Amino acid sequence: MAWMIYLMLGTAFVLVAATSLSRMVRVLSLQSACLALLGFWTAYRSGIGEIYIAASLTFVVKALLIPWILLYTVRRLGVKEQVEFNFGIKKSLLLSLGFVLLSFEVLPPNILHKEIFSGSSLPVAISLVLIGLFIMIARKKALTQIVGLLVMENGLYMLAMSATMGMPLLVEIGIFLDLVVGALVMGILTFRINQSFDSIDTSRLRNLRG
Amino acid sequence: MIVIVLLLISFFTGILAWMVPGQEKKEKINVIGSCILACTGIVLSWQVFSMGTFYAIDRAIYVDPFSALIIIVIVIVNLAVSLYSIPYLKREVSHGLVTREQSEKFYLWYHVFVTTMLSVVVVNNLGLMWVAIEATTLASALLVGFYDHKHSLEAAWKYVILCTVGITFGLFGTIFTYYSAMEILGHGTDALYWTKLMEIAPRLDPSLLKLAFVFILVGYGTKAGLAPLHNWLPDAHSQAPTPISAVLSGVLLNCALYGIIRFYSLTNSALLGEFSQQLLLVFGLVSIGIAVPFIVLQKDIKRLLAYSSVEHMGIIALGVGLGSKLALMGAMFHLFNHAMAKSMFFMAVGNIAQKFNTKNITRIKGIVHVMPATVVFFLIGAFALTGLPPFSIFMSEFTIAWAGFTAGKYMVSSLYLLFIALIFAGLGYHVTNMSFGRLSRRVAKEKENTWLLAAMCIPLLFVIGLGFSTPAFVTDILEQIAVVVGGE
Repeated sequence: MAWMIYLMLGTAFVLVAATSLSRMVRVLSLQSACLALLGFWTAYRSGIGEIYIAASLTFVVKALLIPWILLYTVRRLGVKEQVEFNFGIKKSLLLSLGFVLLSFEVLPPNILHKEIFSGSSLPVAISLVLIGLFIMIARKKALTQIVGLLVMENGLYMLAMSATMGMPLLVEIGIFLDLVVGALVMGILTFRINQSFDSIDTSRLRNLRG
Repeated sequence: MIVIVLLLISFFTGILAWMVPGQEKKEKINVIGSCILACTGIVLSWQVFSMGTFYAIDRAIYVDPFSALIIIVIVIVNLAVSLYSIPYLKREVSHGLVTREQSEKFYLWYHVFVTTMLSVVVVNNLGLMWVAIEATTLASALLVGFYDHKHSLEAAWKYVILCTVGITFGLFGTIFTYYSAMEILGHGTDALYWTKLMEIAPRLDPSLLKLAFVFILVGYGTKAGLAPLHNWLPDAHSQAPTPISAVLSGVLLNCALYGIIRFYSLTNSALLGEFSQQLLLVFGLVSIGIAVPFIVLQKDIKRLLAYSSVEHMGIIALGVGLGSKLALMGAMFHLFNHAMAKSMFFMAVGNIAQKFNTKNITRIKGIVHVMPATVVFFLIGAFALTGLPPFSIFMSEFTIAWAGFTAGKYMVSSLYLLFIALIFAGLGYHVTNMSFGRLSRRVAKEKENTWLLAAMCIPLLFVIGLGFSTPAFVTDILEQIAVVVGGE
């Protein structure tokens, strides 16, 4: 199943290159579905019942519910689908590739000496986190920032799955609760920003200084 | 049981205040709920201080003297702020800054926010602690953006995004800790219990634990406002309604520091204390230093207070970083004193900003002529925060400096004293100008609201009371906490 984590990395590159908001959300949903699949596989391999629950939650929350909230926000706001860039696509892709190479170069493969999905899930996770962070900085709209944040979360979650077969179930449930509430709160703020600024371009949010 | 009751009281105060119609009833529920919460919290903490650590529900709930200290801080500040927010909100509504519907939801969000902060300090599971710390961000994000105008929305967006990103790194740290504990304790909730981790700390993989601490420090450090990760803080503190600023500054930052300090104890008992102390010293000193120019050259009074919070979080981190028992006692005492003085000062500034209808320092002059009662709190708050005797912060700042010199860290301690002196000069200059300057505009003198003044008296009691002398039981409590935090 090691190829699945590379597929997740691949979807991150698609996200970096995406030019339409709703396509971005759909690709994000695909990435989360990969994550859920990894969860089911881990559950099957280890035979621990808890992990089935966590994987199902991943699928329902990350691949369905949150993308639905985001798509709903896009539709309700009636904003233009166009993603706005601080960095061009070519530059962004090159930089993202740089992040991946850097993560593999800097992190020795066996810091975690017992990983489930091949020995490279730590560098892949760090790459995903960096790419997510980059999307947050390099794309202007509030919604793209939320997508970047969720890519970071996915990277982290993949690492947890690989290194420790996920967190304890109770903690996982808590994290999912935070995620859903977080998506809602950020959605509400996006609505209000759109009302006040007539746009969800976060580069306009630069009045507070000193 | 009492811990669950504590959380339920706070939560249901919010729910009730939301469901009951009529603003006046909401206000009553808010105050009564906060009074009951304060009593319960103090009884609980007292039990912990006198009878030792408290467990419930199969050790999932865990309250030791350190958590008890934060609980006391939360319930006291909460009581003062609940009283304060009633007249404050009324005034904002009558000035048209907030609509009536907006003000109806305030108490719901506020008490839910307090509940999340209480849950941070009572859970034993470090994973759930992460969940609770993230929940504090989410519960308070809409409160920060409460005014719903451009600036406050900007502040709220920055707050929720930066803190969530920051805290993601905290989860990395938690995962690494879990990984290293799993090799000994196996898969399951137990392997993240702080009590369990402390028992097996010396057997945890040291390089992983170091990595975990770095991630935790960056993650929770963002939330605690340690420089250079403090960018969200001045915006959120200055744009939120004043009652919320007081809670953010006095309580929320401490909850995030609580997370860092828990992991510090873990590294310390895994014999990696020196590594984490160095990091805390650097972050602490940088935070104090960075605050200096921003305080001295500040134009916005609420931003000034926000930078002062960065400074004081730095002082606490520095105290913990010094690591000796005396320094830890000083740091814990400072945590309490700062919470009291800062929440009081924020409330006084809120009154003044409402009266003068501006937050601009140069446009507020001659407070003493129009608000003779508030100005007393304002001045005491300012001088307490700059560490002037005979107020309580002087005692804790002095203890930390003393601990620094006795530990032979002359460079660190001298820099610390230098920064504090500069901040004293800057803040002192600003507040004396504001208090005694000539009244530049026509601001009518009117009777000051008694409830606003009463609310400020609660923290004032501690600012003055603990300044003149430190009673034996306080020293005893601080010693207990220092033992827990030291992790021996």
